[in-house]
Amino acid sequence: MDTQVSVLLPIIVLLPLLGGLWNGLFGSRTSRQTVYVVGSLTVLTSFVLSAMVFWHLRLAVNVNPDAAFRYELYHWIAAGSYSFDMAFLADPLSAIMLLVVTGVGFLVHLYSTAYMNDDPGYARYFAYLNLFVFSMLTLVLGKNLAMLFIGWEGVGACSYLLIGFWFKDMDKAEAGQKAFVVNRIGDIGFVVAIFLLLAFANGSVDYDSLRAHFSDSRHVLDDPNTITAICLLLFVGACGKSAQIPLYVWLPDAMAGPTPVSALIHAATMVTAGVYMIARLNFLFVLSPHAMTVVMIVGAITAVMAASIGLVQNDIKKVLAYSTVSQLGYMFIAVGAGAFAAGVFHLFTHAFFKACLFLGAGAVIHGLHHEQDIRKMGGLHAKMPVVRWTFLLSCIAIAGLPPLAGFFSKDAILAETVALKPDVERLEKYYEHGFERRAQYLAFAEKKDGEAPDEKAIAAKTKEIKEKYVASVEKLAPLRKVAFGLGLLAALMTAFYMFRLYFMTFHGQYRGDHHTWDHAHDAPWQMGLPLMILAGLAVVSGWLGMPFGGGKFNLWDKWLEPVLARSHDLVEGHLTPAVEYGLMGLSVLVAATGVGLAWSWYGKGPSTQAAGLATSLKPVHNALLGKYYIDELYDTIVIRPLRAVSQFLFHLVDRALIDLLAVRGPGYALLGVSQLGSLLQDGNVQVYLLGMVAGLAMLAWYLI
Amino acid sequence: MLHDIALLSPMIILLFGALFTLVVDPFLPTATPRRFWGPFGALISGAAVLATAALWVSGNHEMQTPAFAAHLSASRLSLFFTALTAVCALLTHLSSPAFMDEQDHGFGEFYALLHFAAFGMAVMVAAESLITLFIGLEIMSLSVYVLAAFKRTSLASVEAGLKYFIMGSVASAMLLYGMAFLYGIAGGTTYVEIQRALVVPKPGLDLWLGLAVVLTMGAFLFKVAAVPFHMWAPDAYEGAPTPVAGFMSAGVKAAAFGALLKVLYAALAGGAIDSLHLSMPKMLATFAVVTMTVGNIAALRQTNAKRILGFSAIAHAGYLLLGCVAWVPDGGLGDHYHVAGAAVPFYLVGYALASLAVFAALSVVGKGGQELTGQAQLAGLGRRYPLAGAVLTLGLLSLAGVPPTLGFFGKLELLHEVLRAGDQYVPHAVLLVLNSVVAAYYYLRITVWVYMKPEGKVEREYIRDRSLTWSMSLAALAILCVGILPSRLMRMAAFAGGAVRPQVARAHLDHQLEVAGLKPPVVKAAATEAVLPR
Repeated sequence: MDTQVSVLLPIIVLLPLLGGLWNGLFGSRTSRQTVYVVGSLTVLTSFVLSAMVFWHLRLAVNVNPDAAFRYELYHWIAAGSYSFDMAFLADPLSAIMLLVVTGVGFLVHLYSTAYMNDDPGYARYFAYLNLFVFSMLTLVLGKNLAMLFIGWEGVGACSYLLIGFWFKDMDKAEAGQKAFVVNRIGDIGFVVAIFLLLAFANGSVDYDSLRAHFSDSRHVLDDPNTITAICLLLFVGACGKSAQIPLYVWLPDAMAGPTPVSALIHAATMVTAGVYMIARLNFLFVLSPHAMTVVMIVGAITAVMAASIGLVQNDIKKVLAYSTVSQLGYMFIAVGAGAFAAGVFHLFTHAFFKACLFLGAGAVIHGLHHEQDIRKMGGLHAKMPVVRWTFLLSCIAIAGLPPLAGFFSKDAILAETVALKPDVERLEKYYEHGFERRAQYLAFAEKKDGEAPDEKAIAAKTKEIKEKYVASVEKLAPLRKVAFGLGLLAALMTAFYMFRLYFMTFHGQYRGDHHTWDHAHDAPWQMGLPLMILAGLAVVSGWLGMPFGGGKFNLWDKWLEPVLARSHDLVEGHLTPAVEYGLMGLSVLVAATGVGLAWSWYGKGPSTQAAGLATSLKPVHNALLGKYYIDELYDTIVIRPLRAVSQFLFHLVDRALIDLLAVRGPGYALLGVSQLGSLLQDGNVQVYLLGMVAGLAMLAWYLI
Repeated sequence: MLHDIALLSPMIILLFGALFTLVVDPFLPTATPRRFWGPFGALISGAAVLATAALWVSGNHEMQTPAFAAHLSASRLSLFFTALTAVCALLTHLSSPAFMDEQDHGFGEFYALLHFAAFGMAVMVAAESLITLFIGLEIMSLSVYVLAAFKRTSLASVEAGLKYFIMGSVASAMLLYGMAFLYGIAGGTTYVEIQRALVVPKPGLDLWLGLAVVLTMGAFLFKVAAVPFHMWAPDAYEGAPTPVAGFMSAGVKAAAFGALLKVLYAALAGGAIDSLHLSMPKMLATFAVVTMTVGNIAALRQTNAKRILGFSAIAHAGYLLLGCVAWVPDGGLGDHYHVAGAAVPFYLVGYALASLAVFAALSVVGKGGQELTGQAQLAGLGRRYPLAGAVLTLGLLSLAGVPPTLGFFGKLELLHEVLRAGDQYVPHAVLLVLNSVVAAYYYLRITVWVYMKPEGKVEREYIRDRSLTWSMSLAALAILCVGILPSRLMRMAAFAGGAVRPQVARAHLDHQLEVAGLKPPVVKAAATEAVLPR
């Protein structure tokens, strides 16, 4: 049975590839209908098969909690002791991602059939979109980090292609380039981390073997610092892909792509790859509380910073983009705090409401003939009831009001951020050998005359190192409260700017020109249906992770338990029900405050109060509008110096040294020799025969 | 006897194709177009490939399975090369009809001659004695001479055929002369007999043995177009009809190297050879690097794609020659014997397919009796005929050794084998790599003509033909697919290379038993797996 189900895995992955290849190669010659059908149907089939895999996994997990489907397509590379397989793994974590990617992926395909209908590049668009789904599936289904990395790069490339989809517009093409380059910076960290893992962990980056490796304290690397370094490098990669400080700058610009793309790639799936990767490697990250804390704090700062920029933006997609960055920050708070299940839970719910918001925004833009400025909207609830209601539901969900999805996932994150703490005793035990080895090393280094240090000294040294380590871990505890506070602040801002967006768009008086208003229309069914499905999911998906009853109804945590078992060994803590309900009340209060503020200032269109506040806080307002001038900062300290250096290298090293001396010189010399040589080849048979005789003579001279 | 015939079934199929074409063709009305012989020939060649595959699968992997009193064999080496040459014939059959019709020379004899040539190649690589080898070589060569000169209204084609023929006859004479000496020394013509005679040095016969080796090797160097026996090649390639040029560069080279491998490893090895004045591998390695360097450098200045490919064929002969002689002593049999690796058979597959792809793609410009393969004339091909442009580029990339094409893995394996043969070949390997760099220049130059040069005002017509499309697509697909998953072919090539060993082992053992005055027991041949690369 298991093997039969496993066979589905490569099919799920390869179907979108086939669709993409078909549309890429023949799409321009076939009819639009064919392109749509091929593009959507392959992903739909993948979704159905994914659902089957999920179902069977559920059955299998009931019998054996560690059940997972594995399928090895072929042995890819074996070099020395390193080996990589083209292999797939469907465990509870990847099964969830599988459903999200194919499910949201299909809805976006369906939506796109209407949204992109007038675009001349629709075949190219669907080919890219299918290739994206293929890459994303490779990313989540891969059985090792190498596969994940292939998918990682694949989604990056597709993202680049789709951001710059309208590449004739220079700004859009440059936005694509920016995304690509910024992602590359993160990828360097990721690749180095993979190499380090290869070097330290038996030459295999297979998840199963990595987990086994890092569960066994005898294999432990020299000290916790190495693991921290690896984790931080991995996090650099995650920062690039998932738009965290300092590499978040590409995501707002990525809104240059078609809106369905923003929904699928830059909200629901690709940008969450970093969260997925950290959740996937939870067994590694829990070994380094220091790296985890960095992840948590970076996530928290990103959440607040992006949310604050979102407060004042006027482009409907930009608001959503900053909101995405901020919500991703939330997810990183969760995985950084050790609440991997909550992080993935937020990833899951966020995929639905944020995709719904983006698609709703797309419907608004589509209905208003490419108007994106919310200052020129308003009162659209009359014209677009479907879009309005789905948008409203998603806004409630993201603001964190019960009983919609965002409330549960956000609450789980905040609660666990304060509740959890690393189990120092177990960590200490895990690193025991490592400490001892380090102590021995230090003791040897101190003794200059080469005599062996006595055991007592080593023991003392070990104890000292151990104590230092414990102290440093314990010093991290207060930072959780900081992250909690920032998270709460971000939640307040989120509720505010989302409802500001909603009121500005759908309520009050219409502020654009009348021609557009007359032609404004609600979404056609291909766009409405995905909106309704996603809004429905935004309502109900949170119920999977009910926090009540001491976790008895929390299906989510139970489902992910096998994947996260190791992290539960090393991170512990829970709240008393009273505190838990108190926290819940607090976050509801915060969310309600944000919504209320938004209502009072923007409920009937932008009010004078809001404008007054903006003028009285002019510098702050400008800084927020200017996005803290981060782009300008990067331009001055990174891009310009880099350009100058490359100019210099280009002229001196490339042009003068390499081109002239190293490449052209020998080339011309060879061409000259060639000219000489062709004199011999004059077409005269006698000369040719003479050559043969000479050859024979040479042979004979050699041998006889 | 029946068993023997079964072993020869690929050759018999090819011969049948030739005779059938020859007998039926005169009875067809003159007005009937003859292009159907192309697909028919492809079917025949395909049947031969299938027969080879059946023999490969059913055969005893360890034994030589000699036939006809040990004058022919169906060893895995023979089968590998038979299949390869039959594939070359197949693709040529597919790419020829449209071209030959356009040139007004689409006669039935053309296809019969292709069959004969393929048959000769099969005999050549299956030969286990000098006489059989010579017969196969002559059947192949005579057919190819005529094929090269087939466009008899074209001065260039006739000149190509004639030059090839004149120089080829000299080479044949050399080979025959060398064989005579070998017969004199060994008292027999089969490889086993020669091998047995050369196990220990023959002090008095050194001079004669040297002469024999010189003459035999000279003839082989001519056939593979090694410097300085190469001068016929550029003229012949340029003058011959384009598909024939492809067949010459792929099939003839494959057959010549198949036979050379056998002669080098199974006949001309042993103490007597090693006691010659200077070691034969060293000498051949020197020829190899000279050949590749001369071929590559001479190609740089050329402005005709076919002529460039002629020089490229010379350069590849150099690479392959190095692969043939960079051998590893056989641990089990002593220093005088060597292990043939997978590199040469494997490389030849990649080279042959790439050559066929390139020449097939070049033949599309042969519209209306012309052959416009010059620099300016190829401009715009990539845009006006994307398939031909793409296949041409892919083939050239494979010849240049760029991944993920088959040519890349061929070169990689070749280098690997050369380096494994010992430190004395490090300079040769370095030269090989440098040569590849030089070669990339002129391969990419053709691509530049095809894609990036201004097209000019003349709207050119190209041959667009279904069977030609098949030929291009099959060759290109094979280059790509096997390039991406090369391990299966690599295993087969290793089997082929390893197939020489049991025979050598038997000759060696026979000799030792003879010396000891014992009766030869049943030989338990060593497993070929021992020489497989891991």
